[in-house]
Amino acid sequence: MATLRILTEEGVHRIHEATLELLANTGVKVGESRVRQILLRNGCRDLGSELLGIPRELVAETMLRPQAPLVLQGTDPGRSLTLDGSACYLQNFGSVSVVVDLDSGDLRDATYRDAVDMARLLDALPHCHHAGPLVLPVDMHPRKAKLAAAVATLLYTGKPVSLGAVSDAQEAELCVEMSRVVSSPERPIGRISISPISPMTFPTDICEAIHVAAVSGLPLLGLPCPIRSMGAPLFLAGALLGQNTENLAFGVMARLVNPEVKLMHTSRIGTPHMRTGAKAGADPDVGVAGACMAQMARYYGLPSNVYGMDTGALVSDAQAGLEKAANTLRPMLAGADQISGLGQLGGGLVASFVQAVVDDDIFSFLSHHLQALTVEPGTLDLAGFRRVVGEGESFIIQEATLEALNAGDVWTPGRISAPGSWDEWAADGRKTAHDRARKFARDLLASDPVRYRDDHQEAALNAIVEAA
Amino acid sequence: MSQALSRLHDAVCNGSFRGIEGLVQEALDAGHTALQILNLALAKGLEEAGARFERGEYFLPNLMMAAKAMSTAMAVIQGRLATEGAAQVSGGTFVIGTIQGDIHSIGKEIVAAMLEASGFRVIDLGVDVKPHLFVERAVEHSADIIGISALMTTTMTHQQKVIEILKERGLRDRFKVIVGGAPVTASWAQRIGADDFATDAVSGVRKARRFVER
Repeated sequence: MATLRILTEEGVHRIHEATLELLANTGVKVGESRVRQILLRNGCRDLGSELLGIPRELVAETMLRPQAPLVLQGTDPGRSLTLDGSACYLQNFGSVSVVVDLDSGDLRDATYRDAVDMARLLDALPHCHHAGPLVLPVDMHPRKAKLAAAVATLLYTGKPVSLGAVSDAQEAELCVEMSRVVSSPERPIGRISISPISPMTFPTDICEAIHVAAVSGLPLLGLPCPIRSMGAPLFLAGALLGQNTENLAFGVMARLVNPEVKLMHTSRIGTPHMRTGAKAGADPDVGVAGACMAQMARYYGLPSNVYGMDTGALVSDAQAGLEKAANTLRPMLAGADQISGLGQLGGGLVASFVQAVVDDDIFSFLSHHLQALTVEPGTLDLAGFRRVVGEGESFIIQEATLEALNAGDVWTPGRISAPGSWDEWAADGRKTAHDRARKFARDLLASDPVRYRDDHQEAALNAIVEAA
Repeated sequence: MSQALSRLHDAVCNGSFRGIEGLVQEALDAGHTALQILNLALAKGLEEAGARFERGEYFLPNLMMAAKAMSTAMAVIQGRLATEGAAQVSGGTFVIGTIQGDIHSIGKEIVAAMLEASGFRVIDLGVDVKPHLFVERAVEHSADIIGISALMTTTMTHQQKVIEILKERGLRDRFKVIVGGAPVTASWAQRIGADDFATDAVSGVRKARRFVER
C-alpha cells in the first residue's frame, strides 16, 4: 500500500496533460510496419519524417480504462504473482555480458553456464519473486545467446519468468514459441520486454516485435530507457514526461493490436555522469523516478515496474548497500508493484552472484517497512501483561509472542547478517556479509539442481534456440 | 504409544503448556506410570521440539513454551517418580543464577529453560545470588557446570568472586564455569578464569553440551 507521494495530484495531472500534448502534436517516430498502419487506420496523423501524432481520444480509448489485475504465472502455481497493488515484488536485472567470478572475484565474460547458475540462484532466493536472464552469454552466437539465457531461466526456475528483451519480430516469435512449450492455455508463462529508443522512437523492428508480442497475449513490458540530457531532458520532471509518453505510446500500439493485452508502467530513467557522459549508477534520482512512475501507473490503473536496486558500486560494498537500499525504499513506499535490479553492479554493466544474494536480503529488510502496524486488542496484548506482571510468567512464552512471530511482526535476520557477538564472529574467521553471501551461492550451486521441465520440453526449448 | 501419551507428547512438542496438567492426569488415569509418561511422552516431545529448533523450524519462544510445558507436566509427576524410584536421565547438572547485586532474571531463565529442554538437570538459584552460594549448591547437587549471569557491567565483576571461592576451596577443577550476560566478552571470561562465556541462550547451551560430552 502506498504511503509516500512525491508528485502532487496536480503534478500527476500536469505530466499526463503534457504527455497528451506531446503524443498529439509533437508525435512519435514510428517506422514502417503493421503497427504504423494500424495507428494510421485509427486516426493518428502523419506529421512527416515518420512522426505520427496520436490523438488524445485514441489514448483515452486505449489506455484510460481499467486493466484487471495482472497475474504473472509461475510454473509453480504457489509462486505466481498477482500485481494488484497489495505488495511489492523484486526482480533481477537483465542481460549483462560480464560477471564477477564467484571464486576469484575477478570480472570475466558471462557464459551459458553462468546463465544456468544464475537461474538456479534466483530460483533459490526467496525475495527474488520474478526471474529473468540476468546474464547474456558471450560464448555462443549473439543471435542465440538471448534465447539460450531465457531457456536457462525456464529450465531452472519455477517462478514467473521474463523471456528477456526482444528486438525484432523473429525474436518475439521465438519467445512466444518458448512460452507455449512450458505453458498451459489457462496459465501462460513468460513476459516479453521490448525497448523503444528514447526519445520517442519506435523503429520498424521494434514495431513488428510489439505486433507479434501483443498478438500472443503474453504480458508485455514496454521498456523505454531515457537517459537524461540525451534521450530526455535533464530536468527530472522532463525525463518523467519522456518516460511517461513513451510508455503510453507503447501501450496504445499494443492495445490497438490486442485490446486485451496486459501492460505495466515502467521507469528506467538513467542519469549520465555529467563530466564523462557514462551512465551514473550512483544516482538517488533512480529511486525518486521509480516512486513518481509508480504514482503515474496508479493514475492509469496499471501495475508498475520500476528501477530501484541500482548502484554505481563495482563490488558488493557499503556503497552498493546504501545506493540499492535507498533507491529501492522510495518506490516501495510509493506503491511500486515490481522493482528491478537484483544482482547488478556498476550501473547495470556488471552481474554478480554475491550481489544477488545481498540484494535478496536488502529487499527482505526493506519489505518490513511496508508492513502495516495493526493496533488492536490482540496486538496490544493486554492479556500478556496480566500474566507476566500479575502471574509471574514471561512474555516469551505468551501465545501472542508466537502469533506475532507467525504474522511476521519481527524481521528475521537474513543470510548476510552478522551472527552473535564480536567474539563469536572473530572466532569464526571474521567473515563479512560478502563472505556469507558467497558461501550461500557456492553451497547452492554445489547442490543438485532443481529442474522444472521434462526431457521433451527441454529438447523443444533447445530446438528453438538452434533455429534462431 | 497410547492416545493419552501421544496427546501429551504433542502438547510438549507444540508448547501447549496451559492445561497440560489435565493431560498428565488422563495418562495416569489410563494406567501409565510416571516413568512411562516422562520417557515416552514428555522427554520425546521435548526432544522433538529441540530437533525442530536445531533445524530452524522453531523460534526461541517455541522452545521456551515446550520447556514450560515440560516443567508444568513434571510438577504433576515429580512425587510419583520418587515413589516409583525412577532415576531421571540427565545430560548433566547445571547450577545457574544471576550474580549478587543483579536482579535481572529473564535472560537467565531463558538459558535455564533451554538447558532443561536439552536434557540438563537445572538448579536455578534465582537472582541476586551471593557468590559462595553458587559453590555450595554446586557441591550439594554434584553439578557439572556453574553458570553465572550478569546483565550489568557493575555486577559482572562479582562473577570473578565465584571462581576465587572455587579456587580457595580446592574445587576449581571439579566444575566448569560459564559466565554470561550482555556485557560479558571472551576476554572478560578469560581474565577472570572462567572456562567459557555465552552471550545468548543458544550458544550457552551449545557450550554446556560440549563440556558434558567430553
